[in-house]
Amino acid sequence: MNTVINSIHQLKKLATSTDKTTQIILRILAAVFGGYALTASVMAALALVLPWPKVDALFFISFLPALIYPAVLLWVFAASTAQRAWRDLLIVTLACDLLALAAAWLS
Amino acid sequence: MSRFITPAFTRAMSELHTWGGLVFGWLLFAIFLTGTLSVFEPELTHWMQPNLRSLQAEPVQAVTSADQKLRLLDPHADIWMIAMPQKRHQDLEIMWKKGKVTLEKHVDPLSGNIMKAHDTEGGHFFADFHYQLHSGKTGLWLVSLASVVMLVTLVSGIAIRRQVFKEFFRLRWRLNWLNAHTMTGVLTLPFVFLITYTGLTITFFMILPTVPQVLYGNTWHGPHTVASQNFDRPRANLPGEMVPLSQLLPHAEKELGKGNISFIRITNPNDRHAVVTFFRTVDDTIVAMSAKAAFDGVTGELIGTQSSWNKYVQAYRTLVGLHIARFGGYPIAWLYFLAGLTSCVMIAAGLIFFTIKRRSRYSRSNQFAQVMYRSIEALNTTAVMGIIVACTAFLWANRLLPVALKGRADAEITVFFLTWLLMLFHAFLRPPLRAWAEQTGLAALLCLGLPLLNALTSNVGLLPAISRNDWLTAGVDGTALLLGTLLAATSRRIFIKENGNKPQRSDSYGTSNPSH
Repeated sequence: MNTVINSIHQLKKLATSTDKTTQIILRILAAVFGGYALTASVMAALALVLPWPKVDALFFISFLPALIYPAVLLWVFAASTAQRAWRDLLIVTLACDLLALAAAWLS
Repeated sequence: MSRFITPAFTRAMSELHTWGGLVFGWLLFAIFLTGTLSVFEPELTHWMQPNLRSLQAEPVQAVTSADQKLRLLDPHADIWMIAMPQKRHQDLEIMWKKGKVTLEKHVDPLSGNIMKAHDTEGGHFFADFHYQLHSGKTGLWLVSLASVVMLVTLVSGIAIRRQVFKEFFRLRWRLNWLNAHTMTGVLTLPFVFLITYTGLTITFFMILPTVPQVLYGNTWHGPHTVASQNFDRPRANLPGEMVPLSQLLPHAEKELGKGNISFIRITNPNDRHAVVTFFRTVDDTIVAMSAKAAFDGVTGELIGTQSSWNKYVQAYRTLVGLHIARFGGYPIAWLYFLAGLTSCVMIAAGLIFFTIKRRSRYSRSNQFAQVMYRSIEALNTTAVMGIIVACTAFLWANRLLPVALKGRADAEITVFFLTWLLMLFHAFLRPPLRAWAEQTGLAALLCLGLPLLNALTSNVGLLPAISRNDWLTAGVDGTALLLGTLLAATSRRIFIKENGNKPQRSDSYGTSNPSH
């Protein structure tokens, strides 16, 4: 039990750390993995929401990831803190995922 | 907008540009250099197979030769393929696929004999390294990541030096590494954005399968199955007498234009459901999508043609066309080549500026910082000049390795990587400026020596090639001479600078070497 509390405590410390190295590592992780998750989520949501023939949607959406991924990377490094970047990323990604789920459920 | 451009924002963009640019700059230089060389992939392949020189033949003659050879070699293959002689791809190649094995031979279009070609990857190695670093999917991901960072450093670079456009257009060009980086940066900005965006769109299409998964699920069999019509039929398993391909060619040329056929694919040859599909060249169209005409292989009837596609498919294939630069012949190829080389200079100047800016700071720093700084200098040399040496060594290996060597194609590639590794050791062992001078000198020697080596080891040397109007081969030799001269001049300047630095060692580029 103690170890669990301890690790939660450690995690909390990490999540609120303003140490420069931690900030950079958190930002790089957000850029690479968060960027991937957000890009894939936007693409999935668009694919399900666009009321177009499949081929149209497939090739139209293919123009977007090369813009979204770099934009996310810039956003992550321009944010005032890494925690804020993570928060924003998670909100947008989850919103897109919910939209995709809703669209899939409705159709 | 100015609300966003706070000092903190500028600092963040500056750090992103500096460190992202450094770490991925090494990779990006390799990607840009091999990509630039890939513009002339057909020419390089032609140069690397010096014993494949046949006289020009009419398309109908080439088709007849290929047809006869395929009927003889494997009458019951799953697929036959014929790559037709073209302006920039002059060889007639036949391929046949049975199960998972594809075999490939060169055929003399006039005599119909098999021609023995050097076992080599040819210029394709550069193209393969360019987009997947010769390491499959991992390489594809690394290249994509580097491309994302390229676009990000483009934006962050503009964000931290907004005055750069003013300086560029007021011709305030000064001769230092920062200016070399920013001025070539402004000059190549449209090209770098175009090439990186289109390249990234292509690779993301391969490695981000989200949309196909969501829309098609298990019915997904690759983009070409939804982008273009499929005229193939399942095997009937009943024998069928194939109509001679030379009889179909005039009908195909009526659909696709005379002399425009670049590729022919025959599915289920000698089966009642054989289908012969003729593909049109994409060398004169910006939409890199082949128009096609399909015929019944037994009756010779036209099954169908396709020369227009869905508008988004066309838009996507236009991006592909803009990236591979095959649409405009030599004027466009040279434009891309020069723009690519200038982008390489931009990246290299950025990498060099990184070390120059920090030279004095690190010489006063602790041991760890000095070792790191020394490593960055050595890696810069290896990433920029080392790969130029390695690319040239790859061409040298093509002429020097014995023709009968087993696994010759792989051996050439091994030479490329070994040379690059050697350059890495060299860069760590020699004082930094000396390493630059020596590697640049070596690259110059290898480039300048290439036409000589070619003349000595083959019968397609510069003069015989010119006299035979073989401009593909002569072009490679000529370009090697030109680049070799540029490298030699650069090397000389570095040697002079290095010698000039020697008396006042305290100011030398080499003092940061911890061994001093």
